[in-house]
Amino acid sequence: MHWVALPLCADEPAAPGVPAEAGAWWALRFSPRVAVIDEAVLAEISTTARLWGGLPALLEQLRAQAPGTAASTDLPLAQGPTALQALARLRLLQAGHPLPQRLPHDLPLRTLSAARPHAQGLEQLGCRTWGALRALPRAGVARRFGGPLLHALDQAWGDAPHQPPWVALPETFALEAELPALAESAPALLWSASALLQALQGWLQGRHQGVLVLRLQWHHHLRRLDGVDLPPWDGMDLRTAEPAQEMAHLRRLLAERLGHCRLSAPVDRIALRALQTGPAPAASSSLLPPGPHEAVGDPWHQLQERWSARLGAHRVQAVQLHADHRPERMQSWQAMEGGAGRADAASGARMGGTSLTRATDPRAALWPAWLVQPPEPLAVQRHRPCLHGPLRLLAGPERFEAAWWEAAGTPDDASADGPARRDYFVAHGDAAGYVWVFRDLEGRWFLHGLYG
Amino acid sequence: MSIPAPLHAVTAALRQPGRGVPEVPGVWQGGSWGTAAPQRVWPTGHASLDAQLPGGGWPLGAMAELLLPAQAAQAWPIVLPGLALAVAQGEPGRVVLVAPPHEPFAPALQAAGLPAQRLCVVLPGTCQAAEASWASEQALRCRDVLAVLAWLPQARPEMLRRLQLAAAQQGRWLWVLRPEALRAQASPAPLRLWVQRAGADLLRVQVVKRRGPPLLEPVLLPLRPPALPAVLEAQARRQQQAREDAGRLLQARRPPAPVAPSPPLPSGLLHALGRTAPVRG
Repeated sequence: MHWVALPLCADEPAAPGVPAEAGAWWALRFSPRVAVIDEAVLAEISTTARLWGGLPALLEQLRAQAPGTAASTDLPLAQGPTALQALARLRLLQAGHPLPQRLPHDLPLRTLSAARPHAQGLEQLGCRTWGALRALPRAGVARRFGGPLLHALDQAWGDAPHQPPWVALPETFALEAELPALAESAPALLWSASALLQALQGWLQGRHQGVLVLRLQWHHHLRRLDGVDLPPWDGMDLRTAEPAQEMAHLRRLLAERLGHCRLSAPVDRIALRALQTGPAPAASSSLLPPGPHEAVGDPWHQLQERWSARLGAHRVQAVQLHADHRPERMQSWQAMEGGAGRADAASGARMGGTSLTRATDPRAALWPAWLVQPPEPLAVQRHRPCLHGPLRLLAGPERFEAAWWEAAGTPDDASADGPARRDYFVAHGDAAGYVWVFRDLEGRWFLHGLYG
Repeated sequence: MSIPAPLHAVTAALRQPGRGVPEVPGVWQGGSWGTAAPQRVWPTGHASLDAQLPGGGWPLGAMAELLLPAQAAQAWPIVLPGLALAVAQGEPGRVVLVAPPHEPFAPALQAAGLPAQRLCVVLPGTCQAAEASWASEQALRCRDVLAVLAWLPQARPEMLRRLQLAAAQQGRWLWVLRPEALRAQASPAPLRLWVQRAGADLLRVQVVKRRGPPLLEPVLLPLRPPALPAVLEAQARRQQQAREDAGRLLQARRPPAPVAPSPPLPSGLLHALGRTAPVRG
């Protein structure tokens, strides 16, 4: 038996509503035997140390992954052969006292929780250490201080079996938290939500999962406001393309979304539940040391989600090419989908882009880089189209006739559906530069593209 | 009292005949490139422009500012060859266009060597300048981004400085495109190019700022679509051929002199379908 004791929730107190056990969920990934005793997380690691590459490696992992270690690298961590000894050493460590010579005999009695109610009486007896208490006649101690103290001492010594209440991970993550004060604006929810997110991270780590869909709900304090009935709960869903275990990205997304949100009434409670989770991808490290120009930064899907959260999904666009003769139908810029965009990025990165260009249209050499959408009608002077002055037609005409199979749209809109017959020209004007113009069936001229 | 050896070397170099100013290690001269930190560059695809840029290409990890005439959007002839070169050599990542002035025509860009799946457009919303520069900065911090082209006509200097810092930290390409009226303003970009149209077919690129000596002579780059000369030439040849054919046809239709038999016409020229069509470029 080898126990490790770590402080529970190092810096900030848990939000009301979050069970104290939630602070120990993260440790379940290292050992199935985790318990919360008083103010510490205790984990029995003798059975799993080999899986993690030995005791020193496991301790290092524990130090690295305990929540709240980003700020302080020297997380107090104590070990001991029994849970109570590890806890006692942790208490000494946190109080800043040195460890005594003989263990566990010289451990001070105040480090044993069961002895705390009797501290005064024991002190007057001159009994200050575990060893001194153990040396007293058992019958007398039991009569004067009660059986539980003796029992706890036996457990701490390892003479009696100790079955602490093991922490068990709930099947689904759903937590509710009371807000410390009524929240009037959505960003005020963020503090409590991030406490819940912290708990979610522990839950995900314990399950080796990453979250895909997350729902944040808030409870309205009022039933009616200005004569309008309010629903008791309101909320929103957060989605991410890859299973996420790191909460920094979700917290940023949540902050962006809450920044746009308006609460319809003051809020007194929030709830967070994980609707969908997926197996978390294990971080694989490279065999070779990273090069000097190794790509650093966030992955693409996080960038895209961040953009979408602030600007709106329709403002982040990717292009889809179609086989059509009408230039405005050759491409469609659409809001980027999470999954499709990712697949495209991967394939695009793999292709290197050379195989695609080979199969392009021979006419493509004269296509412009910018499309004017919708086509801009041009004035005509002396049978010549004009754009900031008369245009000179250079190359062309290049005629196509398309969409005769489609129903005719509105006749005065060239981009509408319907038959289109156009003659395209590359034109040049002194002021306009090189432009791409076309003449439609009725002899009207339109500007459809800009070079450069 | 003897002159120490290094100083001696310097004085000897100073006295060297035939050279105005000697090269002294550790001393930068106004006429040479600034070589404080070796910079990663990527060729622009235009040899004449490469020759005038520090390091010989677009800097990676530094902002390049292009100052363009207000209504014209002539960024692609300058930027695209370098990007296509990078893509052809297998550089992964996306190209992000932030607040482009028109709709990019992806099939044309793909034909020029920039695959359509690599393109991504971000359109900022109501508060244009702040959102566009925020989106650009986020894009620079993403590891799957190859280059960022940002049209930031109204960006404030502190936004540009943030962008320059982000580009420098992440080592990515960043072009910021701004109206030419702003060329008198100070800018944190280490490279500023002022692009104008010169004549019908040329683009005049003036280096407003670079890490090196000031450049007085502008660089001239071709402006017209690269395939246009070949197409025009083919078209002219075709028209010429048509005129010749028509002339010959007219001659053939003329009532022949009764004594002389008509010369045998090349049969292939009579019929329009028999002509060999010139290959279009």
